[in-house]
Amino acid sequence: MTFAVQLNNVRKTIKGREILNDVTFTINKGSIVGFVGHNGSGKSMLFRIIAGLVKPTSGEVSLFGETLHCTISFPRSAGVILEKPGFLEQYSGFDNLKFLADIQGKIGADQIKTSMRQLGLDPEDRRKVKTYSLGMKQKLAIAQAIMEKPDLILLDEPMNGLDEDSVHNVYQLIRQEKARGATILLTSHHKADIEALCDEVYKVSAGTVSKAEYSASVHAIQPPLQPSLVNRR
Amino acid sequence: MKLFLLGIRSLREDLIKLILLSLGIPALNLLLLSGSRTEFSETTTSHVLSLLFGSVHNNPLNWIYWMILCFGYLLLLQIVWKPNVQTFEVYQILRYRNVSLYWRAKFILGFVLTVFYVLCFLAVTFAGSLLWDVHAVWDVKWLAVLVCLILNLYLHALTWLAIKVYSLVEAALVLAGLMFYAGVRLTEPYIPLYYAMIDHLHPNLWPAFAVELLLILVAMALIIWRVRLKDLV
Repeated sequence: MTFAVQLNNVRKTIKGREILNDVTFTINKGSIVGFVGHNGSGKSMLFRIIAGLVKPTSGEVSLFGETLHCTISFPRSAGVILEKPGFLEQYSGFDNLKFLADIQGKIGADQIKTSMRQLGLDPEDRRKVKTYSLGMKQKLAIAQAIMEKPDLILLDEPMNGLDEDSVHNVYQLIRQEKARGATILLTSHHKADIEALCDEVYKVSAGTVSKAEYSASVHAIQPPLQPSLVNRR
Repeated sequence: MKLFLLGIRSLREDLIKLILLSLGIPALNLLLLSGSRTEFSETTTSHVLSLLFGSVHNNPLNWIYWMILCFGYLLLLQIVWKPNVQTFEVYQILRYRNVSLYWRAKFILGFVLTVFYVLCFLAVTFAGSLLWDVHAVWDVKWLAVLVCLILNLYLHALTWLAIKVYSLVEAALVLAGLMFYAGVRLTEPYIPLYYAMIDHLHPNLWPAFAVELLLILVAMALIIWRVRLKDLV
């Protein structure tokens, strides 16, 4: 059986410090998988390795049957958001997405506009991205990740900076992407996000990854309440 | 071609800066030249070229014109190869799915803008010198200087970029500056395409061109080799 994502004994050390240690797991196609863990536990590094942005020190990563850094350098079809959204600040949101979409030329302006509208962004808004709020930038990052209908979607803290309504809108979008057949991996510090969306949950702790019992594990990994997060609980 | 056009598009907001720089630097050089001489009516455009790029024995101040040209070029590089927002660069590379391709597009963009900069420099020098009643005389040396300057500056640019990817941008700036300075201070240069190039032009420059082209290719290969090994985030 071909898995969407398969990691075999993946290790990553940076300057002698072990970030990931002997990580092995598989993820089925078309599922939504959550990764939970404290800050600095290795979640983001894991996503960067799966995206091909960081090479593992040892071990193997396969995506849809193809080995990263061997048969392919990067995933053939992936949408990624990293912890911090980043765009060309002097251009509008639409211009940023158009610039990215034109690299592969898979989609045109209409699909970009549709993706932006799905996130509640106005594609006709000519304001530069530097004037966007954090929430708007985050929505733009999500639109960027899904607009080309990729097979694999990696969402690192996708709900950062989003208000309650936007969070529910993003839930809806993620479910739509799953229904389309995409495999989605996401991280979140919020129990609600994981419970609402994920078919499986993995716990990342001190560089190790283990399958978590659904809600019990989620409760176990909850970080202490932070003032900025209180509204989300 | 498509990737090159995308590169040009990413500089859309900087276009005015690039044009002002490419026209302003030769205009500044001409002003300095006119300030150092009172009479031009008996001279030709070829003579002006010799004053700017000839030996320091003919015109003791011409190293200043060369330094201004190089300084302008360093500024141009800061615009053309400015570091993108890291996250946005990741979004791009995931769509290129090939780090080498991404960098090759950068190299082409750098080369084309080097040609643009040198063409502007020579065009403004030629046209500007006519304002002083200098006799317009077409000389094949203009073409030779054009090719020499392009190769020479582009080789410096790649050296700067190579130092940057292997160490720090600050080290690259200091070393590139020193290279330019060392080049102009050699009163008897052995490199025919360098400072005082007019006095070293001869019909058999092909080996020198070949060596510079080879060095350019080596610099490109070193840069690509390094960025392929590096983690992206």
